[in-house]
Amino acid sequence: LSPIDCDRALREVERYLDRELEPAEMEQVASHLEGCPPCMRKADFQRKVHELIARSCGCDELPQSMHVRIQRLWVQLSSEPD
Amino acid sequence: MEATRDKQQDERALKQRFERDVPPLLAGLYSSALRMTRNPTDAEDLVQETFLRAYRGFAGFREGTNLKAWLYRILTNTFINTYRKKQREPVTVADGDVEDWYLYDRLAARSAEASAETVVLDAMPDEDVQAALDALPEQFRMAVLLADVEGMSYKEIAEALDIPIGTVMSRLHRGRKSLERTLWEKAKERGLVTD
Repeated sequence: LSPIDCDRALREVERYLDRELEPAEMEQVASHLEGCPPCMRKADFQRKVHELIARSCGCDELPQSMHVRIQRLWVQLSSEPD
Repeated sequence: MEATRDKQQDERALKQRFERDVPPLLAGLYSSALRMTRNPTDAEDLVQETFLRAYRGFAGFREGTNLKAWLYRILTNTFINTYRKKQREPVTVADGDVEDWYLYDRLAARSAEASAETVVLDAMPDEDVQAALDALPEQFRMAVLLADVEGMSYKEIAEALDIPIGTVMSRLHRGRKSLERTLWEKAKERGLVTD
C-alpha cells in the first residue's frame, strides 16, 4: 500500500470522515494522518464540525402541542380493531 | 382458527413493540422535520404523518433492521413527496465556491494550539448552528441533514433524494462549506472571535 501525500489525504478526508472510502483507501488516509500532525489537526477539526451539526440540529424537544397530537393519535389507533 | 389467533397475537405484539420503541425516537424525528420544513406547524404535520405511515406499515418492518433508520426514511420520503411539492424551489447554484478549509483557516490561524479552534466550536450555541443549516438552499440542506444529523450513507442519501452519488458528494461538500461560512459570521456576531 503506497503512502499518500498531504494534498491527497486532505482531498479524501471528507469521505474518510464519512467512512465512504474503500477499506484500502481508508487505511491510506488513516496512516497518513497518524504520521502527520498538521493533517490530523485539520481532520479532527472537520470531524468536530460534523459532530457540532449533528448535536445542535437534532436536539429540539418535542413541543407540548406535538405531545397532545400523538396522544390523540394513540387513542384513535388503539380503538381500531386488531 | 388457530392461524387466525396466531395472527391476532402477532399483531398485538407488533403494536406493543411500536408503542414501546417509537415514542423515544419522536423528538429526534421532530428535530429533523423542523430542519426540513423550517416551520413548527409543518414539522408537526410531518411528524404526525410519519407516525401514521410508520404505524400502518409496521408489519413490513423487518426485525433486525434499524428502527431509527427505517423511521427517518419514512420521514424523508414523506417530506419529499408531500411538502416539497407545495413549493418547489428552483435548483440554486451556490454563490461561488467556498474555500475547502474555510472555518479552519480562520480559527486555527489564531493559535498554534489545537484547542484554539475547537473552543470556538464548543461555544457555538445550538440556535446558531440550526440557523446556519436553515439558511442553506434546500438541496444542500437536505444533504447535510441526512448525512450529519441522520447519519445516512451517500448511497442511502442518493436513493432518498433520487440523485447520483456524485451529486450527493458535491452537495454535501458545498453545503458544509457554506454552513461553515455562516458559522464564522455568527461567531463574529457573538463576539466569539474578532475579525
